[in-house]
Amino acid sequence: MEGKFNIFAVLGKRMDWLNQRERVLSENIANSDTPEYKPRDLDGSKFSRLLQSQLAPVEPTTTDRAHLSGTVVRDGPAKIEGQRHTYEASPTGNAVILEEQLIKVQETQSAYQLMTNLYRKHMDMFRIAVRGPGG
Amino acid sequence: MSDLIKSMSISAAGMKAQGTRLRVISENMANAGSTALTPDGDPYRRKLVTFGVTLDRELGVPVVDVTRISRDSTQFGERFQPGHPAANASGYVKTTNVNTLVEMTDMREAERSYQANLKVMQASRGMLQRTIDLLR
Repeated sequence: MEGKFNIFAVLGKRMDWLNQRERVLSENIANSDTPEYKPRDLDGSKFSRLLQSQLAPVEPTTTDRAHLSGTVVRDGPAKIEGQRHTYEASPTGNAVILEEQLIKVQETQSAYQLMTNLYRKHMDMFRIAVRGPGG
Repeated sequence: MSDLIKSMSISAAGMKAQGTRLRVISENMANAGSTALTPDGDPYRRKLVTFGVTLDRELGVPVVDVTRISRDSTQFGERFQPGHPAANASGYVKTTNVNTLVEMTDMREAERSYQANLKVMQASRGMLQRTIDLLR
């Protein structure tokens, strides 16, 4: 399982990221009437970069016993950023648009569904393999 | 997984805050027709709810909460009713500064925000359910 492309690890990462996004979006919606509140979101480009570093981790090879082993880039929690473009702000300074946030929630939800379905499909493939010939 | 639990708690806090707002709105509405009791007394003053972000120490996430319930400082209305026990020398009675139309609008807004929070909670719950379903 320690192969180049561990599908389960990647799916897990994606699900983790979507969970975090869901949390941030729920904060936005809960604060839709809080004065001076600006909506926030996760940076998607950071995720793809993180994934890249996970898929092809660069680790220096050690040729001598005295060499220190390099550390593979660790993944921390995804960075939460203030939303760069907001449509409008209410007189109280709140810039949360409920419709926009709900669409994002929907997006997150369907992406999550895709991930769980993929997970299940791959699990089924393993089951077929384990069951062996002749059922 | 814990992010989804947190997300549900955040939505719950949002719903609670909107519930408090609705309670204050109903207080205002119930007092919409009230007047002063004595000629120099003041009638019911409209209440206002202000939301703010507080840190939930248990979860370590910022949640929404009612930070302040203040009084609306706009002027009271006046009605000419000389026979009223609270009427002043020129026959005017002070009436409350509650505007039912404004309260109705606020109520609708609170309702809409509550619904949005509920939807997010349902979405989070659905995601959690899907994760658990993977075990089947």
